[in-house]
Amino acid sequence: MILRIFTFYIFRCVLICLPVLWLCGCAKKDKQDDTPPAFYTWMYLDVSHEMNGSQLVRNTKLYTNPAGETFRVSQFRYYLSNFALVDDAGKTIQLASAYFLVDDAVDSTKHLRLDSLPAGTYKALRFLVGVDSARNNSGVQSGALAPENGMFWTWNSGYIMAKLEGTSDAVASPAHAFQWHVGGFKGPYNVLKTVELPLAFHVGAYTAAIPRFNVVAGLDKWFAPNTASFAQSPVIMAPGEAALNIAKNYQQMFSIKN
Amino acid sequence: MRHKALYIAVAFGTLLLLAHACKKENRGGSGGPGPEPVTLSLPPGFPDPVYNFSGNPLTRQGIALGRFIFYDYRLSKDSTVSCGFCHQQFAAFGHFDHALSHGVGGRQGNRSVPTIFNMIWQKEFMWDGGVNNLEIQPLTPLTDHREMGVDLKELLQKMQADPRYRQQFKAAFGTEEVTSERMFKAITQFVGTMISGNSRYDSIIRKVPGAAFSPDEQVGYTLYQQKCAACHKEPLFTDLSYRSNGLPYLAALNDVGRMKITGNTADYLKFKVPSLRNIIRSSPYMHDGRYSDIFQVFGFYDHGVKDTITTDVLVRKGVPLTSQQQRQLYLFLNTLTDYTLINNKDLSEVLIEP
Repeated sequence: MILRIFTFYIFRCVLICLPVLWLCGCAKKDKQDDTPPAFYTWMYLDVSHEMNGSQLVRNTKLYTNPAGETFRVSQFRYYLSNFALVDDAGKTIQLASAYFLVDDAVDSTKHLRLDSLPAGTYKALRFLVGVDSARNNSGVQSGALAPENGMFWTWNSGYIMAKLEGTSDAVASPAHAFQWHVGGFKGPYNVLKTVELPLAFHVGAYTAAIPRFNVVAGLDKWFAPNTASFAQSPVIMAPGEAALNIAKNYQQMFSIKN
Repeated sequence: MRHKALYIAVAFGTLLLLAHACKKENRGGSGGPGPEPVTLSLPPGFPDPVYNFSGNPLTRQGIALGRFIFYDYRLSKDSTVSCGFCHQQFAAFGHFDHALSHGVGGRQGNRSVPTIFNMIWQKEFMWDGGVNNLEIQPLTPLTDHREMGVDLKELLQKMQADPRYRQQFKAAFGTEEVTSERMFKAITQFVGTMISGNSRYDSIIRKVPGAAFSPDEQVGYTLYQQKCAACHKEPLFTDLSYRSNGLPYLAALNDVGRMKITGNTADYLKFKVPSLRNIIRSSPYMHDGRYSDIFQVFGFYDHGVKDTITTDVLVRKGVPLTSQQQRQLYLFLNTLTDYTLINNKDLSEVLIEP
């Protein structure tokens, strides 16, 4: 008897509507933001390392710094993070949160993909050399920030923002090794430096082309204008004046060449 | 009427869909029961913990994995030293009878092994406060060449190759992947359960029927309140500040204390105020373990304090203690021994076959 109701037209309608209602009900509710941009893409940065204008060669090539000290580079690594773009109106657009550990010895680390890039006209790229203070304070991290990457101090918590290691005859120790570990995120010895590079490009809605830029880091910039000498400070492994001087130098090492 | 069966099927199917549609996804992946949540019982009267478990929810499996790691000597460079090697339960997770820490290959550090309990109330770690989060604290003992001396990358590979670890990581975190983040979070879970707030003193403070100080202990408690409590503050029995108590500098160890961390000369010879809980069980004393007996400590405060530029104003003139007062203070300090910490079966050593 009860099954008679299935013949009713209205009930059929209800049956058909039910799945539709369910689909609506479980759909993720979008946050009501102030009119999100309709189009997002991503961009690439290809990083290359140079010394005095030619490609950096680790271990074998002998270089000379402005202080006249000869040296070889065995390791060159640094963190880049907090990428943002400046648009033609001067507004800063933060890109997706990402932390990159660029290592001269690992080519795959030199191709950076930056996500959440909205349509617009841009005039500058901005980023941080290092890891922001929040991530230095909030316990164990993963990925590029994992402690086993050897870029985290164990005795005085904090990331090594940039690392340069090698040998120099100017160093008196038996192995002639120098180790420059630049870090510190607090107080007067905060080495976090923001870099802003001019670049001009436009992303139109539904543009197929992915913006791609070559970023060059010139290692020679580590030694000036503040004097950085292997003889004076062969080992830098703590926040302080020496690390800060180098950070002020390397802040100037990046440029865009397209 | 021809479609009756169809309509019934559709109606029933729709109901099923509605019932299941919005159900939360089960995180665990493998269909088995996920890790079982654990609630920490905190001693009454303690402040809110500093460590935030929201990013590292306590589970039975996570704690078990942390305990296994804590007692696994194979994690050290030459398979001789585990965390528990230096942090012994019967000594309130300090190193009984060892002035200075030591590690692989008979190497020696230059500070005394700190006790481990009530860590979730600490903001900073180590004698000099150099480590700023409980999760990354184990990095130092694991990698320091004078302690366990391992390379973290190699260690993770070693653990990944061990079926016992793969199985325990899966139980605690859902997959067999061994990552440093998971490892440190598991250790933190286990260490987080090392809570000491159930000594005789605590029973007396909480007015548990029948719990009372003896007359001497009562005098000792009053002495403590007058002479020690300013730095060794209740209920943790430390205010977790960095101070110099006027302990004479030893050139052989050349330990400048917190100054090494801050680079500030005002922090010269300052060290973290240690807790007095379980103090009678965790000799030797001071950051360099130079006193093996608590009465030597009393003697130091009575007539050994060196007045330097950074010596704390509270002890600059010393803390006078007659021999009778020392005895009474000693009897009071005994009431701070927490047998539920040092006899807790859940914290004891797990035997690990090579």
